[in-house]
Amino acid sequence: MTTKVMEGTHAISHAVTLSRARVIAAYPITPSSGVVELLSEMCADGRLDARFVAVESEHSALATCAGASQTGLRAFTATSSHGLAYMHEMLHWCAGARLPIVLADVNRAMGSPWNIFADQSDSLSQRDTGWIQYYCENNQEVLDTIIMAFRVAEQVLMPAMVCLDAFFLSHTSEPVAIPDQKVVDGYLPPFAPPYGLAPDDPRAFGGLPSGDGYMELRARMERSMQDAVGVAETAAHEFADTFGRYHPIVETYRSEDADLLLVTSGTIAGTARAVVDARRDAGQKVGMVKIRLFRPFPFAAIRQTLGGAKKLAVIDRNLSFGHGGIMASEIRSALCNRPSAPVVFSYIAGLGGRDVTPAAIDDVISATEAVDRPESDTLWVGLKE
Amino acid sequence: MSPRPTLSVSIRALERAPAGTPMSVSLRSTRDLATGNWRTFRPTYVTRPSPCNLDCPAGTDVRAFLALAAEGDAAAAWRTIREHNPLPGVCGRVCYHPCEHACNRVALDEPIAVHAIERAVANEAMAANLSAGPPAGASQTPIAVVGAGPAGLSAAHHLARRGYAVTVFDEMPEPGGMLRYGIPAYRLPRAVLDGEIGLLRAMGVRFEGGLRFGRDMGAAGLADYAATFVAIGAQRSKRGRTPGEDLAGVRSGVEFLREVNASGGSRTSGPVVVIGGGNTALDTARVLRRLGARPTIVYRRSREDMPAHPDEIAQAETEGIELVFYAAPTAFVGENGRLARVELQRMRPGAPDASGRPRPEPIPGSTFTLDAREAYTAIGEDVETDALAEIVEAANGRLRADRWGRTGHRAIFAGGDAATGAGTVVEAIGSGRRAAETIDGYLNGRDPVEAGEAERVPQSDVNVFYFGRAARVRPGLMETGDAIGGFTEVVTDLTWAQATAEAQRCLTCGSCTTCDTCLVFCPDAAIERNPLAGGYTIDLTHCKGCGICVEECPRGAMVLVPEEQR
Repeated sequence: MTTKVMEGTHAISHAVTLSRARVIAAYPITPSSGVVELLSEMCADGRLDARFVAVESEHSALATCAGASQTGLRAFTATSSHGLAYMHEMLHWCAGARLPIVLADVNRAMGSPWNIFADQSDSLSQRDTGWIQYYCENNQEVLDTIIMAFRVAEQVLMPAMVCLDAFFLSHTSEPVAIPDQKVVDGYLPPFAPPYGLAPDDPRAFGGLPSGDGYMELRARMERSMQDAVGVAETAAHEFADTFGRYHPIVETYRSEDADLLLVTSGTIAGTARAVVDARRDAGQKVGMVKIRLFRPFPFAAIRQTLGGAKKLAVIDRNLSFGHGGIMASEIRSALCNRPSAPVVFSYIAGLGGRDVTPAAIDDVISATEAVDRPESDTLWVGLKE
Repeated sequence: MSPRPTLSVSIRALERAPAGTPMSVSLRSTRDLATGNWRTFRPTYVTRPSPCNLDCPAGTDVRAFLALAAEGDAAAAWRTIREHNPLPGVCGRVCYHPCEHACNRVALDEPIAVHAIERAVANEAMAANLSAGPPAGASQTPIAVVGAGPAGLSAAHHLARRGYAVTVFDEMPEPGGMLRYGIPAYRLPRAVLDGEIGLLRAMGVRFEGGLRFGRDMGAAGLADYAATFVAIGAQRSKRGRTPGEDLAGVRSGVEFLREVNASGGSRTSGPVVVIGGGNTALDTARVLRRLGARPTIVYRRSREDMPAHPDEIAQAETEGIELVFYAAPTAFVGENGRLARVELQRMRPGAPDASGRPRPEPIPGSTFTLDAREAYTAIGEDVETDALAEIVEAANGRLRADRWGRTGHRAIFAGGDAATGAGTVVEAIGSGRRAAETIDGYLNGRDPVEAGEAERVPQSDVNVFYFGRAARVRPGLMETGDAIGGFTEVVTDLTWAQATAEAQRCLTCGSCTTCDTCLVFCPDAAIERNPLAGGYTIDLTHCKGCGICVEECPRGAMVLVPEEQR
């Protein structure tokens, strides 16, 4: 194992190489371009035995990955924002075709207006396409999650998306431990799908199912997604056993006996830790819960970690227009019909990369403490006058 | 409930958020963004020579006249041609049109039929009785031109329009030279030639026929002229070294054509043999066919090696003329002092000669015979340099003159086939025009200016994507039976509508047509139409030098210039 200082994009590149991906197809888009820049170099100089396919669009990038995965090869792509939106059709297809492709999405705001900074609305607006979704807090977690994502995806035959905040991770250098290849090989077995596209065993894939089997196939997809929660938990435990780093699907921080729990994801969680520490030092019962696995939604873990608190302050760096913070609304639905469920405060913060500072998070806690119930279903943090 | 805390950031419901513009919109013009300072290359409109313009030996502005023809303006197209070439009706018919060989349109389909359009333009001008226009400023300095062929006519035209008093002398009674006494009327109707020569007369050019220099006049006869241009062409048929050439019935093709063209030919019949592969051979054979004979053309090389134009060869075959390749005469055999048959020998291609073509060599023991009471030799023509020995030196069988017609003798200039040996009407016309410029310069104390060869628009600079495919027009031909029954023109006229449509196929390489492609593509909206001067202006405050306009220009009329080189 070696430790290197690297940007989040390059942490992904190293993880993809350690995962022995065989086909990489991508179209560059800020801020994800660094991922495939380094991967293309690795393919060119032999560090990675993979075919790098430069395509003319993100749609083609994912279509290329689909073809590769269909033949039984481990496939990877990276994109961001508008690039992910352009893949939308193929996202549905890959999930329905049960192709365990791994995609790194650098969370970037959608236009109009143009904005290249951190915002989760790009990946969260793809939440219903059938992709497993992970959200990462730091670059080590990014590298580790890519490796885990391949394992989980291939076990349940569903594709997986690993999300990280634009610039706060993609372009920020942090020390990252790079595990030894042999150890990764022990954790992540070779991709061995039940069926493959091969000339000596010709099959048709994705055709109109005979006997009206569409709904049954959808039910099997959904069961696999439900199974993925447990598979992801096991993968996290075994990852910890193998590499010494534990990344639970829902992570708690000083949440024991907390009356008020901050609930968030991505890099805001890192900032929230410091605020929680300060509040705990002041003797207040404040904790934090970080949602890492968003799809499949980990209902049991959410109910278990959040159910005992009096108030939840959910901070969303995303927005469903006409509804509100997406994580908050999913948490509300998970707690619905529970006796003595906590009051959910939904905060929108940091859209388009606006800083969510320790002071702002501290303000969120203060504002949540100040009232019994929120004055509105959604509260906005830091809007300019 | 705790007391309401003091917060460092606002936290509130949207109902209490301030209102503002509903969308991201600049409140001032994008013109505030001075993107011009990003630029390292500057797009520039240029006029570059089109391949057709560069390859026209007469110097015709082909591109310009095609553009005018495309607009349907025959008169303006005609005047544009005549800026360089006073004989569009002639050239539209008999020029071998090198302009078409280099046409960039081949990147899309086929070259523009420039010759057919030129002919239609001339027809329209003749039908409209267009005048030559008055000469510029009248100096009335007298100039002599010896030889009324295409070079002499061209020089006379360009001198007359500069105001000189030009007299053209010729051995033959009527002006035209080879145009009248060499090229048959079925290729060049005499009314067309007379019409274009008539315009020279209207400009004040005088023609003195029936005067052969060195016989009927000499250097003394030129004393009254400030300068003389000599362009006597190549008239004397080359002689082979074949036994029996002196027999009755063995003739020179050129002399035969001259006789037929001067006084009409007499009916004949039976097999005749024509030796040669150039235009004289073809013309001789086709005239003989019209007079009733059954000609066979014998050429010592292949069809592809024939100097005659492929269209002419095809028409000759259609008219029933037989072609025998890789054969050469070894003897003209007579009976009772008159030709009875031609003995020939098969040839085969040997090692390449000076021209790069395989030198034909005889195949031993392969002789054969063609019965014929007449045979015509057309293996080339020599310049009768001896007639002019008094005023112009000769070298290598030609009059010695440079590209500009200067002979080394003050006031004596020479050009056309007699000096260049080029052997084409269009080269002669170009030579005559250059000589006229030189003479004008000489009389006004100026040397001719050699324009540097500008770079032509290469095919790679033409964006054929912007042009639709359109088939090249194919002028009709007379029914063969009618064609060989007389001397009516074989190739039929285009209608003016056909000519206009054909001209509209022109890509106008290297010249802006204000098609707006640059304006449409400019991502900075930095290109604007120039309503006063025409064309476009580039707003350099905003042009960031991306080069899209240059890349997209359909016709290579824009270039990028590095800012530091400007």
